[in-house]
Amino acid sequence: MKKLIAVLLVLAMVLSLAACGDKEGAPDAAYNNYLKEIKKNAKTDNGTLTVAMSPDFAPMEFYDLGKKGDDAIVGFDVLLANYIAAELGMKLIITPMSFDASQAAVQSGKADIAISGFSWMADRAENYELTDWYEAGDNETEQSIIVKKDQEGKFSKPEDFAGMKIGYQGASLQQQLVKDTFGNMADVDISNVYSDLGTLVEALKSGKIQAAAVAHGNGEAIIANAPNDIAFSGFDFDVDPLYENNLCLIQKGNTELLAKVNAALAKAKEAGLYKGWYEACQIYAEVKTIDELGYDENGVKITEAAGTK
Amino acid sequence: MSFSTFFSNIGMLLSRYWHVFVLEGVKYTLLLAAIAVVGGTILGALFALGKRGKIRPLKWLIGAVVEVVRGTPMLLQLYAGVFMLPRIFPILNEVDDIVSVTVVLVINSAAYTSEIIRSGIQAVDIGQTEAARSLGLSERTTMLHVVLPQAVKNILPALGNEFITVVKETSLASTFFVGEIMTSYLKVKGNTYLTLECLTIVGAIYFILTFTLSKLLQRAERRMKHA
Repeated sequence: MKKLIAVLLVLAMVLSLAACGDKEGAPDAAYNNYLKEIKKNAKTDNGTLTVAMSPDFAPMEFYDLGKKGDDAIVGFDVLLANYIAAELGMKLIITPMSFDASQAAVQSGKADIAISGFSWMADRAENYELTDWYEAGDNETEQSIIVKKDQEGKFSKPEDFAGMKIGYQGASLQQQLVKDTFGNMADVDISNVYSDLGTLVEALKSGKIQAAAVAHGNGEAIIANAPNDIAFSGFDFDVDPLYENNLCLIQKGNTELLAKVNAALAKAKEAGLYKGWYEACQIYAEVKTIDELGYDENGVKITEAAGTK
Repeated sequence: MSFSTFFSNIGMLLSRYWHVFVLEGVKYTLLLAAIAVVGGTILGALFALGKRGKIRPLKWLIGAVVEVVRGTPMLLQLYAGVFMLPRIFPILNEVDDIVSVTVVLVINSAAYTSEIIRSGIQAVDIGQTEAARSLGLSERTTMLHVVLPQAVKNILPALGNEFITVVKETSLASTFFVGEIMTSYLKVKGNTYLTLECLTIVGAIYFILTFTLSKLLQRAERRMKHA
């Protein structure tokens, strides 16, 4: 009975906290600025560009649950999709679906392009036209391992994980990295495949596994929501440059669209847009604050350090 | 992870994302389920009658549809509906995925319902038909006014079971983010990575929906008994 009352009290407390503790300054200000900038002179007279993505992957693509309709899907890849559509002079339509389905959508021609944090993989190169790379901040370039909070920062080399079970999402870049790094160590159990990041995190929380391999940006979002349970281990993978960046999927044989998209990607890279976009999305997903990244409350960068471009 | 964190997370999720789970999720689940149940029952009845009818090709066609639908996973049918139907009917490319998804749900529900109805019709004693026919009722009138009313009474429990299954099966439509309760789960989980907490909320909502539905069906059954 006492326990029940305690739980109810905690519940009431949290409810009241959540009610009043809601954000100072809009987290989407910087994001909205970038989006407005992209859409400013965009024309839409070249038809429509249908983009498939799996919006359950903060900060790359996720839902702003306070917004309605098509505007609710936000994130780095959404900015990129808007940019590509604007460059091509096309009207953008984003169709949300599961990660698997978004690949099938391109294959079947239902979507023109899939933009959903894809990494390079040999099988993908065989079955799709892959665009040139784009860099989403440190989301892909840094690949990390997260552990329970009490083991925070205790790991620096693969041998430190001896005797542990390491989990990862199936068919992901992390699966490859875990196999490459720990495959020859008999005392590390790397047979723990999970269908999505959410179940992977639950497995870590419940103790089924002791460590989980994730992209750094996802790790930040995970830790932000479980700060008392989970932390970075201190170990980062050595990532082959081949895997470091993201790319988009286009139907095999559609080289015309491929060339156009690559031209748009080259222009975005040339203009140095990616870094700002990624920072805005980190703030939006509430994994970094505007102070940490140097934005004012209107979403304008204030500490533009000289000579960093 | 302690239980108090677990419950306080649930409280936080509910207070923050109430509108996503309940306003949006429940709305679309009820909408999808209602269309699937009503459409499925009507189409299923037509299937059952068509299968008992005299037109051979129609019987084969219905038989094939029913067997394929019952013999393949629902998820696969949804993929087929969303990615292949628009190739056959280009008009579907112009509308939202939710239309293709609804079509698949209706056909799926119809296949199961048609078998339930067929079993119900067969369970009505042949003597009833013979008596009605020898009293001079037409074949049509016999079916509509003598056999079907008795059949419906018999199949109500099985039909109720199917309705509840349909409510739960709409969750598979979340593969295409159509907005029902499981889509709410995906959206909130994608933001917060709090899987178990989100699933608990979603589970409670599904249970409330199906429990209410089953109570309503029980009431309908009791009424039928007195009829």
